[in-house]
Amino acid sequence: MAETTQALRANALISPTWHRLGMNEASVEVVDTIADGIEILVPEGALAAEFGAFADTCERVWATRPAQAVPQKNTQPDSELLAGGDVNLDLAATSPVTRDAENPHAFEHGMGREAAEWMAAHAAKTRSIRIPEGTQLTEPIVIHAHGKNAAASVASVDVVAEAGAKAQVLVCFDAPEQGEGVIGSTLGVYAGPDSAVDIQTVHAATDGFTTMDDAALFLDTDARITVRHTVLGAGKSYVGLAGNLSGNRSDAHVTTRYVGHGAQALDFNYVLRHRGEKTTCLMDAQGVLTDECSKVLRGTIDLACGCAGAEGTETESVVLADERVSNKSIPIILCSEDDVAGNHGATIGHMRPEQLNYLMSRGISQEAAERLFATATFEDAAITTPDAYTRDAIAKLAANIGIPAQFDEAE
Amino acid sequence: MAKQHSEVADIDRSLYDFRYGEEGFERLDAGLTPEIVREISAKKDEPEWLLEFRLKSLEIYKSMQAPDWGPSIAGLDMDNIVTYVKPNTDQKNDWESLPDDVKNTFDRLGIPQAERAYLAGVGAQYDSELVYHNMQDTASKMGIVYSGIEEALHDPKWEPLIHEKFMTLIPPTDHKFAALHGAVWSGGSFVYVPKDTKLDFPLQSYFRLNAKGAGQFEHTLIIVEDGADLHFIEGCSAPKYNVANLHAGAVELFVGKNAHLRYSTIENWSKNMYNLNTKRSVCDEGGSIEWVSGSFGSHVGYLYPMSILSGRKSTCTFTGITFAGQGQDLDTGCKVVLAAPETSAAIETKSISKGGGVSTFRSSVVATEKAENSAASVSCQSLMLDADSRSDTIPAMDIRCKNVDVGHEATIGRISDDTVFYLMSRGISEEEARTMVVNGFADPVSKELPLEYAVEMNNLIKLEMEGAIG
Amino acid sequence: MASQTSTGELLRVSGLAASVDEKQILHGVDLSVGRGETHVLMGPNGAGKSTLGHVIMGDPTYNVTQGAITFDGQDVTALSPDKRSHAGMFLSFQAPVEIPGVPLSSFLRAAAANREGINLKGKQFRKHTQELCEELDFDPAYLDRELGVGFSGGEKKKLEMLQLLLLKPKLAILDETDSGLDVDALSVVSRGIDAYRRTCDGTLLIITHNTRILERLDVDRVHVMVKGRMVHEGPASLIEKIDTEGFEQFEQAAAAAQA
Repeated sequence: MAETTQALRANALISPTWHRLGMNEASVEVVDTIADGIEILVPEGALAAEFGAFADTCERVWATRPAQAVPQKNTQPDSELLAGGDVNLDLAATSPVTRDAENPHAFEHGMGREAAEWMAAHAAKTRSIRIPEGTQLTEPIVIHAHGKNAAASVASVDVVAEAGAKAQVLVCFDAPEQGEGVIGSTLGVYAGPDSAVDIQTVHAATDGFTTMDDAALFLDTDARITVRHTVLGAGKSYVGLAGNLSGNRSDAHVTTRYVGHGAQALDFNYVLRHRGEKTTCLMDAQGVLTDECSKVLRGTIDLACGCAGAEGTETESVVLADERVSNKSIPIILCSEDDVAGNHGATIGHMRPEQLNYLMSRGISQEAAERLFATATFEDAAITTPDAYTRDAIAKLAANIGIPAQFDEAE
Repeated sequence: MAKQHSEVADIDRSLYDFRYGEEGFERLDAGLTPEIVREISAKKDEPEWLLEFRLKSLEIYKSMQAPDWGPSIAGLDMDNIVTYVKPNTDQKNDWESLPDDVKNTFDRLGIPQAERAYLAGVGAQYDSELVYHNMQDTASKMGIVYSGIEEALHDPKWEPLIHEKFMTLIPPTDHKFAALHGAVWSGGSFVYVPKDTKLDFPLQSYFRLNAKGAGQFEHTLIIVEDGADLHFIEGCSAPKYNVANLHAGAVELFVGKNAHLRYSTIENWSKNMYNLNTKRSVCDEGGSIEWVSGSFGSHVGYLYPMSILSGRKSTCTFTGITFAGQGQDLDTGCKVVLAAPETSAAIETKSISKGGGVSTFRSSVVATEKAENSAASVSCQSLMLDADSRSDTIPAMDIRCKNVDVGHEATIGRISDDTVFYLMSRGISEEEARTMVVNGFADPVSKELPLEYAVEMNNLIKLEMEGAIG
Repeated sequence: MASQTSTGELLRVSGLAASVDEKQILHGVDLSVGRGETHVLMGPNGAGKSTLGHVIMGDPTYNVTQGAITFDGQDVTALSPDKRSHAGMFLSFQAPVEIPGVPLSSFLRAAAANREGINLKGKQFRKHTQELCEELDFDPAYLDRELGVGFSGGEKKKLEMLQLLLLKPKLAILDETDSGLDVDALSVVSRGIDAYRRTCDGTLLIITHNTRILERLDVDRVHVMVKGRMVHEGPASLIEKIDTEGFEQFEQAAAAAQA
């Protein structure tokens, strides 16, 4: 790679576990040279906003909810003990989780502060977009991040969707030219009361590139954010998303689809913090791992104190289609509120027996069925995206790596 | 087990929380130095390799960091922990020969009664040393050995085997408190069950830490040979002091081909205890390990019994419950390594948090490249009894093999209002209703325990639930 | 209403208003049930009949905002449900809860504990519950099963009737809103009611919108609820009228009254 590279700490768990498992965090190798491979399309109806609009809006709204910043008082601070104080046996000891809960933030970036700050500082293009109250965009905000050799091609975009607004953000990472480098985007999305924002990112780059897909979300009252992350190609893909479900009844629905192939490394970190009452979330990840790729999926549902009536659900299914793959999953539920429901379910390994039986009864072998999974993920991604460019990028990647997916001609 | 237990409703709070003096006891200075380690070793008249092992472990201890991912141990000042306290008695094989305080302690805990009722053998440790060890003649005639581990170390017949196995499953380099254990361990049991021998009644070891500001570091080593079968029960308790006590025991279990070992624990340390315990088992082909684990006590608990399934078709089950009440941060769970073909693991855990307590379920399931056609299932359910408490679930899975099935499910929630109303509408008070639901929640664990322990566990739950309402 | 204040009044509900999540569900409901009588509470879907049953029993889901409930001469409005149960009130649930890990027999013992008249110990208690099971054609093997877990609809119904017979309440409120649809459930409930009246001469308030369950019953009074209000009361003959004409007339009258 280029002369100046560095490693960024990213995708770290709030609740780390045994270090030797290698899941607590990722280290992202980046190159400091900035290249402009970024195109950002802002549709009619969306307006330019002040730089930093996302952070400012979050902080302003967060300041109106002081109760959400008050942590539990059930632990004895370590500082008391380190200063020589006695152990208070009526209070529990702290842990990384309780210490984290002591300092709630208006928003945080899924990839973590260090990575997000680096991305903001190395962004070739920065946009701050406001969707005024009640405006329902008919066209998406589109970000195309093209990989450039020996450089970082990064976009930094704030989206502030005001009350009742509706917007869609599409991000595509691809590599029209061969090379090695970093392709990334860091998003800050504020969803105002009753607003609806849909975010879709597609990773369709080649093996030389590292993708960095970062997002910070803030959901106000009755807001709904849907996210779809599709990771199909890149040597290393890092996806980090963190959301503050601060507004009552706000809802986040995150879908993850991936195909790991070759020597790819996929690294995901999701954190959804339920702070408002009756907030709901669903994280649904499905993928197939082939060849000798590796994947880490960290999913954290934080049912914070005060989120009465909240419900969080996390599901994962992974098909392992090669002896050499490595799959790591750590689905975490943190809970400091009693009136909640948190659920998690995972199946790792084979396809579900009923799926496999059905396919085999139609003459499809297990190996063919597993290949079908990979092919179907590509086809599904192409069908799902409303962006013609992204569809082409998916088709090119499929052709490139020999995935026999069939794509309809773009309309 | 004790008579007090026969009536579930009748709970004696003093059941575990009573203490005696240390008159005539030998207490080494607090802190950790090579001198202290040499002194412990000298008192035990140990083989040279063991002294070297201890000193090496101490160096490792000094060089390692304390865990940064779990409950804080900032309240544990090792310079103030007394690592060795010898009671004023040698090991006996009849209760009557023990000093009154020691005998009374185990009487009140119901150990002699349990021994008469249904145990094949009992070992009892008081502070740093075993004070009682006995096994029924029928068991010894079968060739089963159940003795103090130090006693066995002094027996030329067993010394080589112990030397071969000792701290190989839990090497001192494993973590800081494993190293500490290697340096200052004292007491514990050695069990050897010969090939194809099946013991119908359980063996039990009971660990009592009476001394204030002390640590207990017992080492349990169990070898179950091919085709043999054993149920081992471990109990522990301590009176409550206002200073930190430390428990850093180690349990190493070797399960042979087609052998079976069930290891049951009811942990009820007092709430000033830092319980940093390590338990590990390895299973040969077709062998099976079953863990039944109830964690109720301690201020801070780190406990993750580990099963290494290294033989084809070996299996493990783990059934655990953790109840974290006021002032408790209990980080519990288990670790499984599927390291051979056709192995299987089933993990079912329950956790309950109340009164500001913090309960964390932490696990790791690792399937190596060799684990083809293996399966693991993890199910954990957490119950939050109020909004002052905390319950976290941190399950890690690392799967490196194509043909494995790993399933995981977790739920967290509270006792539903509908359930409480239904029970109350039938005349059951709110407190009783909640206790009933919690006992039902714990049932999958209690039904795996011998009856007397199930009753004890229900009592502990009832005790913890007292005053849960308003 | 409440004109029928016989000296043997067992239950009196007066001016009862209740809400859930700040939404008012009961609007000033009055009801009086005399000792030893059989009353029927009818009304279309969503009339608030089941809610009234739950509020009378003290379900904390609902907030009582106005009015009072008097039972057996005692104001029970502020009593917790277990105290109401010990006072002699009983509510059968349409859907009893499931409690994993708690055997039915343990639950029954806890429910029957410290009650006058059922002071049965150990084996006697078990024998008694087994007899009651037989009376209801309920397999006694269920006594050792986890409460409600995996019970069919009919078994859940039997579970409720079993408790009715065991606890012998002074007043049994049977929420049978859905039972009318199921022939088996119907026969279980009829059997339970027969045995209850035979053994303890109790008082019944049956909540239903289906008249088939009432065919074999000697009904004293019929109350009709619409949209959280008591809109009509009459003799047993009202059942037949509702059977042929439905609730439409009451709904129209209620709508007109509110307009």
